Amino acid sequence: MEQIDIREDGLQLDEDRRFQEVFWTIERAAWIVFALIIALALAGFTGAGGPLAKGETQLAGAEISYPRILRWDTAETMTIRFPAGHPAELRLSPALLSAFELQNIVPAPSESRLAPDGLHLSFDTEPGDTAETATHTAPVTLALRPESAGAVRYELAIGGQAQTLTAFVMP
Amino acid sequence: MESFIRGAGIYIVLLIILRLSGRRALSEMTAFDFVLLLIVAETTQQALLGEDFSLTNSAVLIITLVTLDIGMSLLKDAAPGMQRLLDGGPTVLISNGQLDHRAMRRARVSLGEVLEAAREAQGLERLEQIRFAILEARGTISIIPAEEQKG
Repeated sequence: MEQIDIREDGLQLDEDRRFQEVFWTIERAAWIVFALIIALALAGFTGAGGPLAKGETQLAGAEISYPRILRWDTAETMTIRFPAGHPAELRLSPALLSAFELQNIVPAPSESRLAPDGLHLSFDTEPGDTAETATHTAPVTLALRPESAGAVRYELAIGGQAQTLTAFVMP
Repeated sequence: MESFIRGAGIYIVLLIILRLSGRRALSEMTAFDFVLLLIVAETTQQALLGEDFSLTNSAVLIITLVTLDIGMSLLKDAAPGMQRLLDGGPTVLISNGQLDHRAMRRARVSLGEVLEAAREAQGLERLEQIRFAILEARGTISIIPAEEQKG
């Protein structure tokens, strides 16, 4: 049978004030951590919008906007604007295909071809001279849905040039 | 496997957040606290189930949550330190009529709340009629009146 002592003031109660003081301090530290988490979330560190959640890069003249931080089971979009007047061809590495479920590609590729180095996609574009003022095509949008949490490294290739991108999937 | 991970994850996250937000947070609920609790429940539900609405998933999840809760209570029984860590302990706010201002401030209990508890539980009118006020682990305030009330 556990023993609870009677205190000097007559209460039979087990109060550990030292522990409680430590806990109150931890509690206040935790509130600061909560505030930090909110700040990080606003910055995009937890995904779903925010400056940190998206990355921008250039590859063979194409402008790529890709998700850097995603959430498990939640689709994010990658957009690619090809340089105008060039063949719009894209290769997605096997790592990308196994880490993400490709939910849709808009516009639909005119040709898709499977190879050991991944999935090759080609898109129909207008001939260069009709788009005199624009430097890039309208974007191709890919919806990527992560299959599991953790870091993903994958390769994207356009016009023979490849680039490795990293993404982190939050649980 | 996913069901267990989701269930255990939510259990631990909720345990940590609720414990660290302070015991005053969800006890002595106001109407707004109650609504907040409902919103927390609704938010959790999505993360728990994901897109899997099968009977198997919900059965595995319920078993996971209940088992974790049983495990937690066994752990508390085995080690009193764990009980204190997970549930907290009582804090004496008024001892023999003496207010412990530091404890009240740190525990975020106002004098008004102590007096409210005194009125509610004991029908006391003034501070000097309170001999002991104790903030219990579950967040309620127990009041022991000063005068001997023998029938």
